[in-house]
Amino acid sequence: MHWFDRLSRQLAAAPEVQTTRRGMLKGVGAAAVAAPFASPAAAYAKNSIKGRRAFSVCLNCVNAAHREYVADNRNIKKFFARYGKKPKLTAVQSAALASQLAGNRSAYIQDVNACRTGPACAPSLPPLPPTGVTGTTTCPPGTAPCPGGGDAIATCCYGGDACCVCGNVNGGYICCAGVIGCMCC
Amino acid sequence: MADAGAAEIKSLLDTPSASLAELMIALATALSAAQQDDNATVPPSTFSTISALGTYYRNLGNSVRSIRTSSSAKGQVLEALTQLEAGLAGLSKGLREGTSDDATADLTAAQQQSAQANKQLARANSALS
Repeated sequence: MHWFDRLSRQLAAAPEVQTTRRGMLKGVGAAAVAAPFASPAAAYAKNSIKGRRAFSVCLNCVNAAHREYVADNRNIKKFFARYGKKPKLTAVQSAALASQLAGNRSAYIQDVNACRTGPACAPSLPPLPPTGVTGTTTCPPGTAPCPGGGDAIATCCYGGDACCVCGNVNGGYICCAGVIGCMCC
Repeated sequence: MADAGAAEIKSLLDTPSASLAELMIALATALSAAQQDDNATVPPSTFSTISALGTYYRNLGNSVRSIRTSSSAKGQVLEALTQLEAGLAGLSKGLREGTSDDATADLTAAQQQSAQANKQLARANSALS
């Protein structure tokens, strides 16, 4: 079974992805419970949870592609191990291996791009508008400002996400998971 | 019956090389060390290894070229080695292009060129017997 199908099944079976960011998710969840009537805070916490979960799914997808790629190349090294400490190779054999290595890399790039442009890393959270009183706009806690026109803050992205200039969206910005950079635009 | 030149070319192709194996292991190792960044960046040593592999095939081609034979398989061997060099150049280019669509196209082309070279070398090797 291809890793992408395996990953899809795992995610279907356990929609709440277990990651090292679990503690952070709990923290945000608790904040939402602590202030159930503060609707902006609750909305922020809810979005933040969504954001972290989306980040985890994306990260898992990219990590799985990388693991698969390293395993493919490790198999090539295992091939050599059969020939002892000082392996030798003919030109015909090396041509076959060169083909395999190029193919592995090509498949890896396609897998990573499938993660980036597919549902795993699709931008699920729109940027947040800045808050604050006139003249002193700030971003909500846990988010970072994207540069705006002049000194103004245009939008805010969740921490760790990249502010990406994206011409085809309203506001001109999109927030992409840091691990994938601005390729989700 | 193959002539002496054909036998010499066949011997060159059939003699396994430790340095060639070392280079391929180095390449597999370097490619495995690709970073999980935006460009899946590989270590700089990858490119020098690919370059060394290209030099190996070029030298092999020069050795084959200097051998006199009436066998038409010599031409096939030279063609395959040139194709193999082109495949390595494509691999190098594809690696420099990161994770772009161009990279995928170049890497796939490199894969096909190397596979084609492998088949042609094997065919020519049989014809040299």
